[in-house]
Amino acid sequence: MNISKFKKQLGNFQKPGRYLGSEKNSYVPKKGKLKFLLCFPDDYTIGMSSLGFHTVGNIVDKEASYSCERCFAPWPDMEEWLRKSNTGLFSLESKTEVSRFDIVAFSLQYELSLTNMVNMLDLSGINPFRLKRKNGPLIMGGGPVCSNPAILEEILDVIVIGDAEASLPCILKEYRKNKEKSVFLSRVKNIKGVYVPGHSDRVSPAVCEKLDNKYFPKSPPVSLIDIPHNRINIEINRGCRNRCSFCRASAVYSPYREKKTDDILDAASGCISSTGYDEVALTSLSGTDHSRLIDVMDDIHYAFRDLGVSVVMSSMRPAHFLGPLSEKMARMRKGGITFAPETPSERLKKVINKRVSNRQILDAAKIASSKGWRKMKLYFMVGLPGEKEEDIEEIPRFVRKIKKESGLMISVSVKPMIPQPETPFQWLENSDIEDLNRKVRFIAKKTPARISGFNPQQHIVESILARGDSSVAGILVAAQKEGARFDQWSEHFNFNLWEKAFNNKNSSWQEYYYRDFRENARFPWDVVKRSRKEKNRMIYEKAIEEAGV
Amino acid sequence: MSKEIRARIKYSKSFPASYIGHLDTINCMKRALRRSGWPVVLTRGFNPRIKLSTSPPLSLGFSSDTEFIDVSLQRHPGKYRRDILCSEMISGFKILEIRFLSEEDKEINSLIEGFFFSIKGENLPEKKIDDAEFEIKKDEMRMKVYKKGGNIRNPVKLLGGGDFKVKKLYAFDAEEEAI
Repeated sequence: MNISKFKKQLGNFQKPGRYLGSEKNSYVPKKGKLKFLLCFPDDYTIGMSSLGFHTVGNIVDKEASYSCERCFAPWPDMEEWLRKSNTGLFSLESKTEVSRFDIVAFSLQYELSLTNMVNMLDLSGINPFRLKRKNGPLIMGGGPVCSNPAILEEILDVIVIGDAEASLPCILKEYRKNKEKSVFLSRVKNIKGVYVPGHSDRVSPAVCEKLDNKYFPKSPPVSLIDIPHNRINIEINRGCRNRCSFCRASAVYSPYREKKTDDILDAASGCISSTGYDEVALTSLSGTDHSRLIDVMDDIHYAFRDLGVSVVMSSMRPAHFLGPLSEKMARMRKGGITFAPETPSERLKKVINKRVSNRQILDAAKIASSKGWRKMKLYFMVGLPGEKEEDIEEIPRFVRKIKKESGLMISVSVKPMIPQPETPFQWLENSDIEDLNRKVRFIAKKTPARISGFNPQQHIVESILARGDSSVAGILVAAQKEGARFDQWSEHFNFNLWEKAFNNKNSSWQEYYYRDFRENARFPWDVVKRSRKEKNRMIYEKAIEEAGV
Repeated sequence: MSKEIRARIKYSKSFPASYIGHLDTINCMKRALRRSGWPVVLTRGFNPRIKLSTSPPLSLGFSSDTEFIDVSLQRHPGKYRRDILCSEMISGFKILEIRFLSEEDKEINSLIEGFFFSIKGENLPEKKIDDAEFEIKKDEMRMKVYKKGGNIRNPVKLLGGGDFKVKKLYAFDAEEEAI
C-alpha cells in the first residue's frame, strides 16, 4: 500500500481518525510471525465499542507466533477511493493488504453487517465463495451470528461456534502446526466449537467454563475518536437465567457464569491505568443477576472515585433496581435508565416468559426520578404470539402512565419479534409485515414519547439472514454486488438493492421471510448441537396454548 | 484543603494526531493525564470531569508547534509523573514544555491574541486578506491571523480554500510576543 498516497487522501475522508491506527495500546505488528487480521464488518466506531472484538484481538496478540492487526469496514467515501485508485483494503496498523494475511477472521455480531463482510472480501480481491478460492488467506468467522452457520457455509472456511476463549487458542495452535489448508481443515474440525463446512457433520458449541481474566483485554486499543462506548466494558456474567422465549442471546451465551468480584476489580484497575477511561460499564445480558453486584459497585466506586471514574450498568431488571442498587447507582454519573418490558400485557408476558411486572417498572421509574434521573428508555416488541389489538393499545397507555407518575422523559423503541434460531419461538412464522407496520405506526401515533427502532424492510432482511439456510449466501453476495452496505445504518440501507438481489436469484423475499418452520423436524441451524431443543419444543407448545393461536 | 495549582502544558501536534479533532484531542489529553496519575482536580457535581481549558481549536489536518492545555492540579505532580505524561502521549503529540502558573497568570484562551501560520502548496494567492498579515517566500506563505469575535479564523478559508499544508508556528499575545 502506498502510504503517502493514502496520507494525502486522508483529509478528504469523513472522520479520518478512524483510519490512523496509532491509538494507545494498538497492536504492534511482529515481523516474521503468522499474520492474523481481525476484521469487524462495520464502522471503526462500532467495532471499537465491542468487547468481543477486543477479547479476540487479545487472544491472538498474546500468542508469540502470531502478529495481530485490525481492519474495519471502510466508510463509503473511503471505499470509493479504494475502488477508484485500485487499492486493496488494508489493515489499520501496518497498512498491509488484507490478501497478504495468513488468517482473516470476522467478528460477526449482527446479521445486518454481513454485506459489509462480503464487501470487505471483495475490496481485498478475495472471492466470497470458499469453493472458488484457490489460494489466499484462510477466512474465519465467529460471534453470535455464527450460531446459525448455515448462511455462512458457502463463504467461510472455518466457523467458530460458542466462546472464542475456549476454541480460538486451540485453532491457532493447530494452524501453527499445519498451514496447508486442506490438512488444517481436516484437523481443526476436531476442536470443539469449530465447524468446517464440507468437513464437519455437526458441532457442539465451545464453552468457556470459567469467566476469569485469562483472556480479558486489560489494555485494549483506545479509540482516537468518539465512539458509542468510549469506556471500559467488563462482562460480569455470561448467559442469562431468565430465559425469555424470544431471546436468542440467552441460548447462544448459555450456560450462566459469573465473574468473581476480585477479577472484576482487577479488570477495572488494569483497564483504567492502561486506557485512562473514566467510565466502567458492567456488561452482560442481565447484569443485575450477578450475586455480588452491590459489592462490585462499591469496590469500584471507592477505589477509583478520586479519578472521577463512574460505573454504569448496561442492562438491568427493574425488580433489582428497586433495592439498594438504585442507591449505589444514584451516586454515579447519570445517563438514562433503560428497561425492556417488551409488552405491558400481563397475558403476553406469560406467553413470552418475561418475568417483569408493570408495577415494578412503574416503581423503578418513580425511584429513578426521585434520585435524579431524567430520562428513561423502554423497549417494546410487536408481533408476539397471540398478540391482540388491545395488547398494542396498552403500550401508549402504559407509557403515558409512567410519564405522568414519574415525570421522566421517556423514549421508546419498538421492534418486531423475529422467531430466532435456538429459541422456543424458532417454530413460529414471521408476522405479516403490513400488520407489523400498522401496529408500529399506531404506537408511534398514540405514544407520548420519542419512538425509534423500526424499519420494516430492515426487519425483513434481518429475519431472513437470521433464519436462512445456505442458499441465502448467494443472495447476500448478490445484494453486496448491487451495492448493499452498512445495512444496520438506516441512512445507508436500501431495500431495492435486496429486492434486485432476490430477483437475480429467481427468488423473492417473501419466499424466505414467510418460510414456515412449524412442522419442520430439522432447521438449517441444527448442525449446532444444543441440548435444549426438546425443552424448547415444550415451552413453545405451552406458549402457543397460552397464546391461544 | 491545599490550594489548587495550574499547569500549562505546551505541546505539538503532527501526523497522525493532526487528523484528530479538537474535542477528541481534549479527550486524548484527559486520558493521558489519568494514565500518568497526575493529581488532577475534578469539577463538582454529578458529572465530575477533569478541570482544564485549552487554546483555540486547530482545524482538522493542520499540524501545530503551539498548542496549550491549562490543567488544574491538587498538588505538584513531581518530575516522575511529568516524565510519565510525556511517555503517555500518543503518536503525533509531543509535550514541549510544562510550566506551573501563578495566580496572576491569565487563562490560555484569553492570553492568545492570534497565531502565526506557515502555509505551503501550489497556487498560493497574493490578494489582500482582512485581519491577516502575510508574506510569501518561494512556495511558503507565512500568515499572522488575529482573533476575531473570540475565534481564530481558518487561514485556508481566508485564502478562499485550496489544498494547502498548514502548520501553526506560534501563538502570540496582545503585545505580539510569542507565547
